[in-house]
Amino acid sequence: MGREERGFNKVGLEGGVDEPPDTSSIDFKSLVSGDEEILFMFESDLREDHTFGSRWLVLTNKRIIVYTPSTGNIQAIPLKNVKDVRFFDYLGSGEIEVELITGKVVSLIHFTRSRVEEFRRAWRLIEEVAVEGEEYRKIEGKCRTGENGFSNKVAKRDVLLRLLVFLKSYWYLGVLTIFLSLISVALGLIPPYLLKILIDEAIDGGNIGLLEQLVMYLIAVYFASTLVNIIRNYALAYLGEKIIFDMRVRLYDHIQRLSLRFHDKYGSGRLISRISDDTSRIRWFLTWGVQSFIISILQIVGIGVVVFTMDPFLSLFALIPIPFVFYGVYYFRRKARRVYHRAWRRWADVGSLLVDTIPGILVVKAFSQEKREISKFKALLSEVIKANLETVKLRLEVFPLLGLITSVSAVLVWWMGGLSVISGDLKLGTLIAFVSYMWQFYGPVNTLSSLVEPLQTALTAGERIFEILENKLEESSSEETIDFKFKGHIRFENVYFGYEPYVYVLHGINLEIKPGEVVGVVGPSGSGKTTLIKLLLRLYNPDKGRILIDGVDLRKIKLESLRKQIGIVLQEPILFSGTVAENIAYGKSRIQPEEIIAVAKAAYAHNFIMKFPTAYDTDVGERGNRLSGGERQRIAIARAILTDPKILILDEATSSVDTITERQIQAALNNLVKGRTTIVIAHRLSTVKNADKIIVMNKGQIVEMGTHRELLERNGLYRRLWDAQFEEEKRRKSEKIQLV
Amino acid sequence: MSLKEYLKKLNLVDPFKIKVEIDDKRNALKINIDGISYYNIIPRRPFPFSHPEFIIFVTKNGEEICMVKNYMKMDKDSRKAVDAFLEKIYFVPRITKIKKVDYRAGEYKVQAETDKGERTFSVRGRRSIHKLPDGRILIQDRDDNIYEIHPWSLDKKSRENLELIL
Repeated sequence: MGREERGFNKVGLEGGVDEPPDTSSIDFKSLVSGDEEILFMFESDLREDHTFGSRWLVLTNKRIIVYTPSTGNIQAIPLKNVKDVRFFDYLGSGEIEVELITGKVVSLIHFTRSRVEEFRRAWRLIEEVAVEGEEYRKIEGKCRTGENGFSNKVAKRDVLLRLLVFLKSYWYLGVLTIFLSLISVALGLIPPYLLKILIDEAIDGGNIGLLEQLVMYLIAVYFASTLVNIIRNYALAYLGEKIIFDMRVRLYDHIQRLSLRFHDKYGSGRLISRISDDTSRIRWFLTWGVQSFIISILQIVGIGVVVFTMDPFLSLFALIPIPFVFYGVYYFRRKARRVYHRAWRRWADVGSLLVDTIPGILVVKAFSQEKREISKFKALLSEVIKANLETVKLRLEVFPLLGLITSVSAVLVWWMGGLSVISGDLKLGTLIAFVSYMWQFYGPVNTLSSLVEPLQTALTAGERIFEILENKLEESSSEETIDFKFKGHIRFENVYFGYEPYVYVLHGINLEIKPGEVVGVVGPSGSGKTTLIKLLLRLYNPDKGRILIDGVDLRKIKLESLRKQIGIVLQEPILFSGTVAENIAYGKSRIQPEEIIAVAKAAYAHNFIMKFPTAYDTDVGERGNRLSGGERQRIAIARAILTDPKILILDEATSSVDTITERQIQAALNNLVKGRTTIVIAHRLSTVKNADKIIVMNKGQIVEMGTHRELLERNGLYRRLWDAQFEEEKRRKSEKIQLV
Repeated sequence: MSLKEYLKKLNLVDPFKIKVEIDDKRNALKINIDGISYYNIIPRRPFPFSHPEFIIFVTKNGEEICMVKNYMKMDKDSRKAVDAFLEKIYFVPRITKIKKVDYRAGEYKVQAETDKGERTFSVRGRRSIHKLPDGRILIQDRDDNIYEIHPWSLDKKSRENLELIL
């Protein structure tokens, strides 16, 4: 993990994108007194004089310390003197200021936008630790990012070794392709040699028999070489597909089983690109890259030896272009990416203009902007031409020059060799063979220098893949977990939880729900309602306290068993592409068709489904986009009924639909709730009016609990929320009347 | 309520207990279950592709009378009567030969032979093609007509043509 160091967290360094700053030269221990404990450290990128540079905000259990390494300045504020902490978002920067109990306001630290998110966290932490009270100061210095932390860095050389491990299960294919490559290289060395004999002995000696024999040999060699290359290339492609298959499956499997906390951090886009793009880059490297590397080296050595034994003096001339070729190709590859990308982006600009204006032609015409649009198009097209010419220029910059250098050195070889032939030191055939070996020499040099960049890309891609594979799975197999049938008794015991270290969104939740009870959870948004549910599903673990089902700690229950026995209907139900029937049966195998109809009827979905010509076999589209919100919701309810869960969670399902649909959904829910422990997260209080118990949450705590009637009588937050919603509805109704 | 109770409410009828006749006067079916007759009935398939044997009998007003899990198990005459209606309601020609596929202006123009005769139709692209778990392929044309393909029973040329649109 590497995050826990000297017993404190460097929160400012989390994220894994940036290189960890070097803290080894700074002695933070000297900043604090003996019994003082560092809780967190954040590094800013702006100094006191608003120039770029390092500045540290160190939070201990006693003080806030701001330290500038370059000047040695230290500013310390005892926590007990802090009255309030405020955070400001500016253009290009941000600031945290502190109000002291004396009323004085001090600017604590200033930072650029790149550090805004980290310092927003710092601000919340300081608020928690300094303003909100003692509680947090006593947390036994436990490293909280450590326990759920994500590993990030994998050393480059390890990446190479670990990538090669993927080749292990297909070693025989690897050996086969290398063997075939060797044959191919060897076969490539034969023709010039035969050519030498052909010229020197067959033609020069007038030996027709030998000539015919050599011609046959040459044809045979070319034939064999073509055949070997076909087999080799197929074997390589096969190997590549196998490896990428393994890698993608392993990665996907891992990603599916990683915790939600991990998914929150990475985001879906990044994960998708790792499964699709990064693995492709590695495939290329592991198959073609490694092979080309080996073959090129072999070729260079093989041809080099042959050429030098033929004529060491001439070889020196043949060597002249090699550094040029190597550097030239490397230079081209390096620049090409930039230049070609630019051309591609310019063309994309033209594309987006077309996508804008052709469908929007009505607006263009209505504002008579045709001329302007045409000139815009022309301007973009000229950019395309410019970018395309750049690519041509780059090619012309490198390759003709390389061609010239090699041609000139070939001429030099002809010259020097010619002199030797005339003086009788060398035979003509040998010279011709020499020249054709020489040309063969440049191929592998070219290949080697073009390998540099893709090798780097593949290593980076590998790094990013292992970064994900390094992360621990949700439930380690070493944990002893049990599988049992739930009765539906739920108990929260003093549960604390925060998505960010030390910033709790749930504070000391104590709650008991009996089997079969319907419990409504209400409260303003951000009060922790959904978090409560996420903990119950064990998408996250509580930081303190525990959650029990039928007296068993959640952490002891087999994750699969837990989630199978808890049904959930979300506010925005997620359907997968497939048919209606497949979506209802999701999460359960071997379902009879009549079961699907039965639950669809119970969920009041059957009638609308039968209205589709293809009924239950109707494709719902990607993420269910061919169905309306209300339809999706009822399918989700049917799905929940089919899984027959003991515990049911409803994230208020009746928002944004018309009244008839709402009534049907309500009726469907009533069917669903019967005989199950149910937790309803309600945004409109009327939904939970009839619940056995209503829990009112505010700022991560349970502030009130009781039946609707009891809570109204209490005249607290619930009463206020109820009155506010009642007013709101009355206002809306009167507005509607006025509109009519 | 549990799944079992919901299943009980379905009114799933044993195929042997049901008699079906064509009622010419009403252009509908007449069914008889345990001696009780129902008129003005048509069959509907809730799973036209994945379980084509599953039938719901409804009145023309849409009221459900009963369900039969496998109507093929009904007696021969009843089955024939049901088939006559199903063929009309679920007109899904089976493509036996794909003669030609042309790509033009974002659409595939398909010339095919079906079990109902020759037909040329336009397909919008891969979104209009659905693969069923049993390997059958359904193609929806531009006018929402549906064609069925059993890829395994196509000749080589037709399969190559099919590959063009998959």
